[in-house]
Amino acid sequence: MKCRDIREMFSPYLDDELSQEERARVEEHVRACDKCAEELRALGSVVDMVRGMPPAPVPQGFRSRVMRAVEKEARAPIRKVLRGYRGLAAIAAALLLVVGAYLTVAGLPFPAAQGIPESAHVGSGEVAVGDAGEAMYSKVAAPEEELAEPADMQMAGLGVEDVLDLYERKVIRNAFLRLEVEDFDESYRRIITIVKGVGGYVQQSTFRTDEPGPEGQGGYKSGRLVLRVPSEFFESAVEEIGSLGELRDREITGQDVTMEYYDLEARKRNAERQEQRLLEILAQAKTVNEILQVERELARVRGEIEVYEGRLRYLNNVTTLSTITVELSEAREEEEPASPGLWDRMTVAFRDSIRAMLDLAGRALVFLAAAAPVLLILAALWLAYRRFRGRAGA
Amino acid sequence: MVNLREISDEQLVMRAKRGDTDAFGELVARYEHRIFNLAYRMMGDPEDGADMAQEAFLRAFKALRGFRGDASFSTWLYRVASNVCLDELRRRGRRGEVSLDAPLTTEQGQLRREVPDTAAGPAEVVERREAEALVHRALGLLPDDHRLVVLLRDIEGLSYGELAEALGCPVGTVKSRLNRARAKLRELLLSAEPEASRVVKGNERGGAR
Repeated sequence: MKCRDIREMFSPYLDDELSQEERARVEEHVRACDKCAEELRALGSVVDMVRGMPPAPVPQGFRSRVMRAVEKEARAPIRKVLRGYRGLAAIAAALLLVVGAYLTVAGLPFPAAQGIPESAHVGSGEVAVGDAGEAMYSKVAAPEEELAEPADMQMAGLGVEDVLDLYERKVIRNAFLRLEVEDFDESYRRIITIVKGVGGYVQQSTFRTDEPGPEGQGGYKSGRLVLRVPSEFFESAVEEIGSLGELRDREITGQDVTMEYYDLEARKRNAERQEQRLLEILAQAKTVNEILQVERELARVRGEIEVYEGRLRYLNNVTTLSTITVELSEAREEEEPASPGLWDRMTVAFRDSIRAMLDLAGRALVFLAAAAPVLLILAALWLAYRRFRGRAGA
Repeated sequence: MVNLREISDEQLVMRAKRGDTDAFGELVARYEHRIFNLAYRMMGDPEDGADMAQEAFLRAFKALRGFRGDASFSTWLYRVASNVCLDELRRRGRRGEVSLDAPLTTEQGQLRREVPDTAAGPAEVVERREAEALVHRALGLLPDDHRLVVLLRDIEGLSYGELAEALGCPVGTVKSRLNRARAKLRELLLSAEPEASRVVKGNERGGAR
């Protein structure tokens, strides 16, 4: 065996990492080869020298330094991940922004007339009506920007919104309530009291009474009331009526017609001026033909004025008086089933279970769909975190 | 309350994975001595060594979740510390920094930077220091991966199997690398001995530049 091959084994020999057989071979060789024996001895002393190096003491305060860094790391793992994935964080932030912007535009609660002094709303009360009302409100309010600002209002710093606030806001507000009450007549009386109390009136009411059942049960009453209340009492009236029974449905809508209202007023004024001019012309008319022509024109203008006035009256009515439609029905007592047979009960129970399962599956799907964007973001973050960790561990 | 000092590395690791920094603190207490000595000898300087040892513990803490216990914690920790040191040395190599122990080439040939050892003491201590300084310097002259394998074997006492895990290479590679490293070290020590002793004993040159 060559010396070189044997020397290859010196290190494992010194480290006692050789098999019995290999050990014997090394020992046999160095007994015969002085050079290799010398080499092994020298290598052994080198190993001894290295192993004889005294261990250095750990510097003072080393552990507390380490632990401070570790604590800091333990406290801020998320920040760390985000720092490592600025791009991803930016995308997530942008996504949130887009979603937020979309929701805002789509009409989540955000009053368009924010920050306007309360005194500006002369008698119109709050514009915000509730979620649904605001949704409609902001959509309707959007074209306001096309409204021509009166010249005297075009002051520096006065936007369309500010200008509008110098007018009285005209908002049509409607509420629809479906209530289940215990005693129809009692509830009806109380609704009337509420409406009268705020200076409103019942515009329309209809009733219906069920045919009584064979054992005298039933005979339930239901009905529909259309109420008009001054708009400043709209919310409180809706609240009060809604608390009379079990609220099954509630829909509140609002429509801002401020623009239309003042637009109509302006047109009406124009038409009136035109009427005035025509009357002056009429006074000076000389020929029958002239008179006829002017009167025809006058009739047209007056018709126009009437249309405007009618519409204005209507708008005044619906904006100063809000409409609340209430559907009342008496709660039915649990009907005694005519003790169905076992088979019927079984089929009913079976059907109900199937229906419940389908319903649940549907709900789960809807939930999944709703959660999908959030889950996507979470998944992205999780992947980022995993990659971050993987890199740190490498 | 469990006494952290009495439980195994594995249990401490499990606790630390759940964010228990006290458990990790106990692991630091158990290994700081070994990791610091490895880093110190790798970097050649106690301050750098402390920095690298700290970095190693911090990196280990961050990567703890990725540690699945295939190897023992100590071997894994050595691996992390080794990588930290090698990374830093590679970084410095690129930036052309000079270590105290790296040979400096001048027109008169190779010079070696020396740090004067002014600490006085009994002869025995001086002698031990002398030998230590000699080996320390020779180690510094080895290529990084050779120095690493020698340190892990002869200072930290890892077995060949553990070396393979800590270095991430097969046992065969460990064997040959260690053999070459020791042969190189032998050459360096034999050639450096006279000069090194002169410097430590005489000190008359007062720290060559």
